Amino acid sequence: MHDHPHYGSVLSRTREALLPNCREMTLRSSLALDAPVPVTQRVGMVVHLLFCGLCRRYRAQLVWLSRASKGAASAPKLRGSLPPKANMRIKHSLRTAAASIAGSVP
Amino acid sequence: MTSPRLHPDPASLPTGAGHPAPPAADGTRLDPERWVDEHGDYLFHFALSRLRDPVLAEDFVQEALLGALRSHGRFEGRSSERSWLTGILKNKILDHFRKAGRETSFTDLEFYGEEEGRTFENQAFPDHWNATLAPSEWTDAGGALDREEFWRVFHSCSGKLPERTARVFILREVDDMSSDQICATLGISPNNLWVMLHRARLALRRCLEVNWFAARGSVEEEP
Repeated sequence: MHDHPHYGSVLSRTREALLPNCREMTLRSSLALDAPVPVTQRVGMVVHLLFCGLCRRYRAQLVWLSRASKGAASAPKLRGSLPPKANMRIKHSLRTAAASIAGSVP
Repeated sequence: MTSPRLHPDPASLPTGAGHPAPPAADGTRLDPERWVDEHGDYLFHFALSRLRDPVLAEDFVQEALLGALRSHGRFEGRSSERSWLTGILKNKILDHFRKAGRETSFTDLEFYGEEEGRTFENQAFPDHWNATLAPSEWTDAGGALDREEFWRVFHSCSGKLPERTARVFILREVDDMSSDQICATLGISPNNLWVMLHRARLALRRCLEVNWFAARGSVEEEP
């Protein structure tokens, strides 16, 4: 039966989906955060996670990382503030622009 | 294209939905220089965390404030002044990403080859975790979020990601944009996006593990 090319490829694809290795699991764990994972792939994940503590840990850490990243934008200021020179320059350009807008309004 | 954040430039939007009638055209006191003092630091931080280049970030703050000045008529005070200015800045940055997305190539991905390859080097079980590079247990992950040093490490790590990868990671995880929106904005395929996100997470997770969780107490300045 393995002579049938189509049957063979379906079989190997299903096998791949149901029996992912750890490398594949890291990709699926990430994908699960962005899109619905197809059913056979999900079944493979659940089975793998049952037996693989490292992938369970990886997955939990990705979920944590995803939540933590949401806070990155509001995290304490880390790289200083707008440099004084830039502050002056921006004010100057705003003043110039404001003057030209005012000039163009009758 | 249902989300307003996808509009290329608020200054070019028609006065209408969400951008109502001018309050300042009649000569109400308009003080854009005050924006620089009151919101400059915030906007700069916002731009820097997305663009990762201080000079570029300054330019974008300036561009956003100039844009705001020109379109001041469209601000009616429904949102705070700061979120209005941030919205303009954000749109300018997205516009920049959109243009840059068409120009830059994928050489970024070379960055991962080595590390990712070794992560799954396993003699007994090919493509399973390598004992020394496998994820280790993290202690007090929750507490890390309140520590300023943690965020320094976080930013330093995300700063090491290649530009395009960092960009999709920030849009997806920091700005919480959907996959569809990101693909539409940057003109990339979903598969492409998912692989980039996967690699960003893989690299960032590892970087945090090495430079924060494993090195607690002796945090390095430059992971």
